[in-house]
Amino acid sequence: MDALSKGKLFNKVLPFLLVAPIVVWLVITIIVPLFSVVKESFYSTGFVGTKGAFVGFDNYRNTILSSTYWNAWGKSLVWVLGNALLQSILAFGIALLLNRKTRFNEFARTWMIIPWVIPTIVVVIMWQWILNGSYGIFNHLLQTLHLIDKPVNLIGHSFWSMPMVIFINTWHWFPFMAVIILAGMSTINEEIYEAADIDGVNKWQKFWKITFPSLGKVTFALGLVGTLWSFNIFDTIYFLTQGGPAGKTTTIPVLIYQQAFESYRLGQASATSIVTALILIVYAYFFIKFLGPKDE
Amino acid sequence: MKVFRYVIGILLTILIVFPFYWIIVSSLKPADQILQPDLFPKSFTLEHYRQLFTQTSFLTNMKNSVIVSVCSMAVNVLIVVPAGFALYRMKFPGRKLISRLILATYIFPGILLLVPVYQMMASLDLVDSLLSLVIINVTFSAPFSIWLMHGFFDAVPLDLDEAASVDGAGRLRILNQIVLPLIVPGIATISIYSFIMAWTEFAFASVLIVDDNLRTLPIGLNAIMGQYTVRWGWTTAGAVLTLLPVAIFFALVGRYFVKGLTQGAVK
Amino acid sequence: MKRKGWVWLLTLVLSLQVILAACSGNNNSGSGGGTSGGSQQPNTGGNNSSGGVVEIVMWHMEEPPNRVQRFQEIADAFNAANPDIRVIPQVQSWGDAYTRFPAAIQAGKGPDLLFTIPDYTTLINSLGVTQPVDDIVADLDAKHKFLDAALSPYQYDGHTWAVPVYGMVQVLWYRKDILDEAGIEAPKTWNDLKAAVEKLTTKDRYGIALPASRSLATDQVIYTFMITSGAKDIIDENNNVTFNNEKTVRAYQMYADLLKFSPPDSNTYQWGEPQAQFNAGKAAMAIEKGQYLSVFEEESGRPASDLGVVPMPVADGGEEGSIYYSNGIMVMTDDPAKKEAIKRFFDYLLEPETYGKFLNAEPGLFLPVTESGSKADSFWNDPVIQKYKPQVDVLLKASEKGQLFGFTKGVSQKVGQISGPNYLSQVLEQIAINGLSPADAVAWGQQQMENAVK
Repeated sequence: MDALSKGKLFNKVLPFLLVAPIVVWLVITIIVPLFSVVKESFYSTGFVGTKGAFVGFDNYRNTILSSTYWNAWGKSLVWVLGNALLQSILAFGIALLLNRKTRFNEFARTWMIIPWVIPTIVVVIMWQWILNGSYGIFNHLLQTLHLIDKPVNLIGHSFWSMPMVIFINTWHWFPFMAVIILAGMSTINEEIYEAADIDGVNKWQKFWKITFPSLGKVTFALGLVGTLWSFNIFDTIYFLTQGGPAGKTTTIPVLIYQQAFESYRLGQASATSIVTALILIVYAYFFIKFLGPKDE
Repeated sequence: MKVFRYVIGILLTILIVFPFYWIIVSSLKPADQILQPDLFPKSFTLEHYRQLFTQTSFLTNMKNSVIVSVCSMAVNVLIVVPAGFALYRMKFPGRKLISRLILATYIFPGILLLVPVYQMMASLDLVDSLLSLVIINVTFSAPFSIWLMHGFFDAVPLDLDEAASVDGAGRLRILNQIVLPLIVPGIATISIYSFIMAWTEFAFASVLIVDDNLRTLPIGLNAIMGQYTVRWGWTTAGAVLTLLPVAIFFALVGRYFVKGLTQGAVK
Repeated sequence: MKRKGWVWLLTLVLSLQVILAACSGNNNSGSGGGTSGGSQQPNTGGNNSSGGVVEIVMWHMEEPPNRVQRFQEIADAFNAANPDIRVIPQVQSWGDAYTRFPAAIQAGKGPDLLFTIPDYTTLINSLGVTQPVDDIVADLDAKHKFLDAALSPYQYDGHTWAVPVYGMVQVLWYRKDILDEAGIEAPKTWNDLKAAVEKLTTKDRYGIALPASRSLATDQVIYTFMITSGAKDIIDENNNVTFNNEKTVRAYQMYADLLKFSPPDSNTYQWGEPQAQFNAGKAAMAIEKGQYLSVFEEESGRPASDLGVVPMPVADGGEEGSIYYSNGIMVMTDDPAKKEAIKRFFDYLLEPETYGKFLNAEPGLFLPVTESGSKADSFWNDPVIQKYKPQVDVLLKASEKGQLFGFTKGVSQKVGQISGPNYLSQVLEQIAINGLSPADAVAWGQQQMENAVK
């Protein structure tokens, strides 16, 4: 080959070389393990690392017929929706407040994300400490205000545990959402707002008719990726309640962990994982189809 | 109306700030006062911190966390930037497919991967090595990093590329000398993102590391909590020490991160 | 000009190499604080020595620093006296033991020596890595005479699977100062207990602090109630589950009733919280093992004599006793050099001069499992044991009536499937959280257990 075509060849191959590292990385660390999960789901493997017997679709049948599995879906849905709602309210709230250019806002816009920056386990400890059923400052506050006379244990409460866990996770994530929303808001042309002001439009209408729709792309991304990320959260819930009390906060990821590591049924956990992944793929597909931006 | 804004603002500020205040203040109270709800400590002590440093492997854990986070950060950048250049500035078959593949990695609950990744690392004899943590951290931060880089790459006009190639510069040279300097903020952003993600990672760190000399900070902190006796002094001090490095890091570069996140999100 | 591009690329690649090398190179820099006390290859299990020193990695689950420290001292003394061996203790948590260790052991990353309790051994045995310790135990038995209650849970299938090293037993702890003030005597029966708990619960105090979380800690206390109710047989050697019976239901009913007099966050309690409440005087009683001795004075501010203890109260038609754990050490390596070293280590450990010191890593909690040990000066001369001699006597006596579920009717080799997911606590949760009646909850539990051991 002469110098010219060597160069051309190189240029053709170059993009693949550049993309190769990340593709290889993801294939090896995600796709390959996924095949392993699929394989395990057809076996009756107990402990991690032992060999089970081939059981065909038994594990899948157990999963689909199990009320525990669908209960966990219920918990996951409550979890995802609760988080989406609470985080949206708080994130939009703070974004709207900080949308003006003041010095405090500049400072706040950087530092408000700090709850997201710190490790999950620290977030959990902070709130367990505040909400502690014997010494928590929150209980002390409620008692001082005479709202309760004996301390309550909210995180371990049969009703309040899920709302509390949702709240704590929201605290951890809403500033991150707020930054993204603020970013989206910064693209909205000031002039549109000015024109609306001239037309005498009030604040609520401004938000719903101008701000919100213009954030379309951002809210779409947050909606899809946000809900998936939310669905998959394991750490926070497990640290706080281990899925308890009595399974009240056992979402799908928690259930999978319990099946694999506490009940020592790896084959079962694998089947549960695959069924869940398939449902999520369907969800993502429909989400993109019906709510996706129409340009791509 | 303005009062309303003000009140909400104050409430939100308290919501964000109070947990930090409370955990720091609690960690400074002597053991016999820590259970009292005094908003401001009657006396201060650094005893819990001293004990953490001398009686636990906290310093070792911190060292491990720093190593893992810095390495994850570096590798993340090294594989994301070239890939970003290819995906967002070059045309080649399979470009869309690869984009979708990367996006698809969001779908799967990380927890599914816990066991097979463990088995894979075990067969490569990488269990109980910090390298295994770096590998998995990069896996989890790369997809979002690539997504973030989109905006940054787009911000550099393609004309520059063309002008340079007319001058005879190869594609690689274009990447290095022209585009790279312009996307430094993007690189900063994804670096910080991957550092933070690596610092907080727990599930894989707890499964892949068994030697207690190689534990990272969150695992070490968890070990302190799960004991026969409850020591809130240690727990709160440990929590403060675990958040301190990443908070300091953020204090130095946070501005760029938020700016970058903002820019990256607007693609 | 093209050359410059290549220089860049090269630099990029080289720095990648350097970074990766640095990252993987750091595997081997153990050291710094921590419990291992030295720098060595972190790869455990099948890894052989460096330079003629046989390394034995030992995992234990005794997390409190005083225990970690004492175990390290024992190991250090042995290592000093035996320069060709190096025993390396590493501390883990019971939570991890049940969830992560099976995977680690399967992957060859397990330890050479693993601390254990009887049900845990049945779980780990199914991995096929545990080595029988018949010879070691026979030898030690001849020298020191093991207590039967400590040894029998580890003997089945014609072999012995762990070397017992200490026993733990539950008793009823009470605040003598608080009971005296209320004019109550230490309870002997369930009726006494119930009456006492009711009387002792006031506006700022609870009669008792009981764990109700889904955990090993709660399982243990529940089982003590089951024993004293007369329902100690849960599962037999053929893995038949006999959990559902009226005596079990009675035990859960009692527990649920007593929980009303326990702090409201009891369902987050494990071992530490009831003790914290007890020492703070917020709870007058607690049912636990011997760890209450060493920190009582410091944490309560009261004299040692205020720490009252009696055996667990018995129900009508029930039986005396409480949960007893024979803690042992399993041998996980088949390397002959290591096995030789391990034998020497066990010899050293159970020698009366060392044994007492080992036990007093947590005085009162770790009770001797050998006859020679229960007479050893090194045990009795410890300051805490001396101070609390009456209490220690109660503990030792209670050991004689100790029981463990899964080991009451022969050895059930699948009991690990019941203790792993904490089914005993789960039944309690059904009652306390989901409002099931004890009868329904116990029936549910029977169902779960049967499925688990299938």
